[in-house]
Amino acid sequence: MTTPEIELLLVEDSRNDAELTIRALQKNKIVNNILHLRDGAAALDFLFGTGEFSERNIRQIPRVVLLDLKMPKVDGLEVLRQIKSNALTKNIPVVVLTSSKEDPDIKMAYELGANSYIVKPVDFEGFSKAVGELGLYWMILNQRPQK
Amino acid sequence: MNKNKLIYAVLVLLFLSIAVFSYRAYQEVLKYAGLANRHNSVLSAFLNLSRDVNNAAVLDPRLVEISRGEDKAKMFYTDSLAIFQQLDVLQTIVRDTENMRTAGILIPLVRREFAWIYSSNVPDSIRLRKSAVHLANYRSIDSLISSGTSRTKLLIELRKTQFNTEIKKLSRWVLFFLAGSGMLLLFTTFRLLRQKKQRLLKEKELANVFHRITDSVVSVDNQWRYTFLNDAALSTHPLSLEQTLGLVMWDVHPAMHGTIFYDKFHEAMSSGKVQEVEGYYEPMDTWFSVKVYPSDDGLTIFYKNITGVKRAELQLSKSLKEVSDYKYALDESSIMAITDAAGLIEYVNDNFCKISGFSREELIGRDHSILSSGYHSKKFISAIWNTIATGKVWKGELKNKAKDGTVFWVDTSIVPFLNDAGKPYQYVAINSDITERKKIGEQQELSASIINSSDDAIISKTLDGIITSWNKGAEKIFKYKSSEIIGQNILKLVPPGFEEEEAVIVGRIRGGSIIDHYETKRLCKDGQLIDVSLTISPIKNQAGQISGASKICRNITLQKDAERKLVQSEKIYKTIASSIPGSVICLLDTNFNYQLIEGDMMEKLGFSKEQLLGKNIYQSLPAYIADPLAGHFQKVLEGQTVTVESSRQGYDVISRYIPLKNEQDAVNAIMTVTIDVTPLKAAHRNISELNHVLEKRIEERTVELKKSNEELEAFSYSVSHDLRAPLRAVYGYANILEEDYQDKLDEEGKRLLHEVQGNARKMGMLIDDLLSFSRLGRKKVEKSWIDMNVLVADVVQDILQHSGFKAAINLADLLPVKGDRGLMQQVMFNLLSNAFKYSSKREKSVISVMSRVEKNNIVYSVTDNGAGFDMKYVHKLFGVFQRLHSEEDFTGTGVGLAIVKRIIQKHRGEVWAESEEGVRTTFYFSLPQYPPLKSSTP
Repeated sequence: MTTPEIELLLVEDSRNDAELTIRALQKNKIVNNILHLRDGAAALDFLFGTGEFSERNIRQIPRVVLLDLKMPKVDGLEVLRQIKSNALTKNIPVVVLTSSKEDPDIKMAYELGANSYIVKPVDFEGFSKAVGELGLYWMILNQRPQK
Repeated sequence: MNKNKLIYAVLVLLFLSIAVFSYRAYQEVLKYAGLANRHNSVLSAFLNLSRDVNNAAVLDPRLVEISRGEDKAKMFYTDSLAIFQQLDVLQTIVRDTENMRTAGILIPLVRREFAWIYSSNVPDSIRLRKSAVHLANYRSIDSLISSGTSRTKLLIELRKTQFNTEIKKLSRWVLFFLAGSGMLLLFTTFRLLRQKKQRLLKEKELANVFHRITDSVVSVDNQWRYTFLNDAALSTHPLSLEQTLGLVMWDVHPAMHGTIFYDKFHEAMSSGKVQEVEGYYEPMDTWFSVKVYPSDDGLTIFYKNITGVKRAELQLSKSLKEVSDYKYALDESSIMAITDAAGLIEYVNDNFCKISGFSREELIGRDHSILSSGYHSKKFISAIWNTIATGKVWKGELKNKAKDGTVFWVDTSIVPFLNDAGKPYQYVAINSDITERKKIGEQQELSASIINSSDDAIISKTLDGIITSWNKGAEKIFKYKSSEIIGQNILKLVPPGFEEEEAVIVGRIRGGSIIDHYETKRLCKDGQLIDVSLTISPIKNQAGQISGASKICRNITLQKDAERKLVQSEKIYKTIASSIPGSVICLLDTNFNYQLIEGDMMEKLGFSKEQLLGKNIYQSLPAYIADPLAGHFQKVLEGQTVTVESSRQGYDVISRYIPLKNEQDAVNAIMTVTIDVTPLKAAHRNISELNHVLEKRIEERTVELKKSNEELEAFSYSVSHDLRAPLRAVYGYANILEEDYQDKLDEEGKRLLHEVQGNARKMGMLIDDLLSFSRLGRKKVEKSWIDMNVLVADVVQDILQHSGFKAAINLADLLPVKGDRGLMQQVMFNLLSNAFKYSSKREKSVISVMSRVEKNNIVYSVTDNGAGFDMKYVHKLFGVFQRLHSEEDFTGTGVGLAIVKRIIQKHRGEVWAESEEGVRTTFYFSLPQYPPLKSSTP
């Protein structure tokens, strides 16, 4: 099965947040192919070609993952841990999304190898700006190493 | 002198030249005078000739004419002879060339003519007119004479002029000569006068000098007549100066005949050589030293009285002799050494070599340290040097070491010899050997020093009890000085009631026995009664008879007192020990026998004091009690104190086993102290139970608290995530609406949409603040030193960067503080944000941050000139969600100051505020002052 190459993987359980995030990304014209997954399990399936995504060519890896930490089933930290402990995926830049900068999980995420984090503020402009800057950074400046 | 000679030479030269020139002028004058004479003679010869010729003018036609008259023949007179004579004269004297030529023509012509006249009969011839030829001759004669005459006259005039010139010259030279002679005469006279004056002056000066000098000076001429005597000479002269001058010396001093002076004076006079002599002149009983200086016209005699010197010389030589005698005697009798100023030996006598064992060669050039025995201290030696170096004589005894190592003592006097400046240039040490005496002395000294240094009184007395010696110890103990007690009776020291005792003692001493350590009482000078221990032994005289007693008396008052006190304190201890309720104190010897039992506890435990005292603990106590003690006692014997709790007969007791040590630090007894602690134990048990219950309760509470904390955390978490997510959606979608449906909304719709956005934003802020506030409750404070200057500057910069506020900021030099860096940042951020916010409506907002120390606290203050608040509501200021301004005036959630308060409280500090509305508002917070870290104080 051939799927278009996914440039950015957004793992976010909140439909609203996901929509706003995608809108911010598109508005900043950073990326075209975004895949939004609603939970950590789906994200792992996608990345490692299991379950729903067993047909997927796992060598096609996204250039950046935006990962919400608080998710049902498999939470963001678990996803992060698995991404960073697998040779295939550990080089993917992971940007953690969180509701509060005081979140103790941020520290944990850094320890697990997260590359950056974005606080989802209430006001949309700030969020959009932050997403734009970070996305740009990871998508364009921080080129994925070629195989 | 040279100058004078030169002047003389010049003058003589001048004089000579003037003479030469005068002489030559005179010669010229003479020459011209001679010439003039000759010319005059020639002229007179010519004139005579002319006269004679004219007289004989037979040839003159006029005469001839006249003679033709009557009888006129006689008119002719012709003296031809005179004419011829004149011609001879003329021929002899004429010298002038021209005149000679004239004469040469004239003389033959005249001769011929007059020879004719002479031979002819002239009148006849004339008459006969036969004389024409002769007339011509006559005429030429006449003209020749005329020319000769005029020529001669001319010559005379010439010579006259020349003569006059020479005369003038001569008179000038004569004038010079006269002037030169005058000058020479004057100069010579002047010089002579001056020289005479100077000579007189010198003579006068010399006389003065002679008068002034203390030596007598006498001059005599070669006839021995006095020409001069100076004042000194006159003072011993029998006559006055006026009377003496001119007298012959030997007449004045006839006694001088036959003396050495007479001989020497004559020798000087005859030989012309200076003579010098010293001699005794008996008539005056005086020694004279005389010098005789011969001069051209006599003698000058210098002499002085040297009687004093002579006598002194004699005395000196006598003294020297004596000194050398003394030195010899000293050399023979004592040990002598002489050193230079530096202490190096220059001379030693034979005795010195003998006693020291060194040869003279070994000693000379060395210093005295070669003999050092090491006995005397450096201080002692330097004291010697200090004494003699200042010119004082040092006397003392020195211990020296001979070459062979034996020690000898000398009694020494070191005499410094001083130079004119008063500094020693030599030291003479005169020693005598006192080694033997010293040996005896040392022993005596030893016993004396023992007696003197003894704290015991050492007294000797006669058998009658008269005190004969009294040492320092005795003075100290009995307070009597030796001077006041020696000679007194010993009974003075015996207190009333003890007199018999003394008699007994004397009796025993008489019997030859010794009294050893007899304890009794004695009386001191101040009336004090002291305990003494006496040791008395008899003193035997040389004959072996007992003549007295020596008494060693030791003050044992203190010792006795101590003994008494010990007995007393023992009583006290016993009383204490026996009166402590519920205790027993026992003393065991090292064989574990009861020595002492005090206290009521023993009975309570079922044992009686009498039953145990003197018995062995293992034999008298039951095994179940005694056996466990063995181990404890072992430790006690090793020096340890052991404390044991146990339960006996229903009593809880604490026993302490304590080692008692003797002076050698060895355990010689065991003390056991047993105290009933039953009530204490019971109380302790109660407390333990209570504690246990309490601990359990705390544990329960802690678990509860933990649980509620966890719940709270979970709650906070969900608030932060779950409460915010919908809010974010509200805001986000409102935003999309605003962006994408702008054109479809009317003004009211847009306003409502903004309200939605604003409220959503505010809700977000509230949630954030609430979260951070609640999180503070759980946050641990991690303290470190904070440089508040840096912190405040960072915060201010942060605020300025993220807001549009502007203000003049005064930052004092802030004190460092110990606190949680993050939290303090929060505090400052909140306070400064407020300051910026509430002063933002001022034309010029001014904010100052300061710090000070107050009562062990550091107080920081943040002041602004903003709106401030009414002090009425100050109590609401730090409450959560409490605001004193409307949202319209100043935005805010009302959590900032609550957070500040919480943080400061967590730091054990305080926060407060003062405001004058619209003028000045200051927020203060204080933090405890910690002692600053020495190295890392910012």
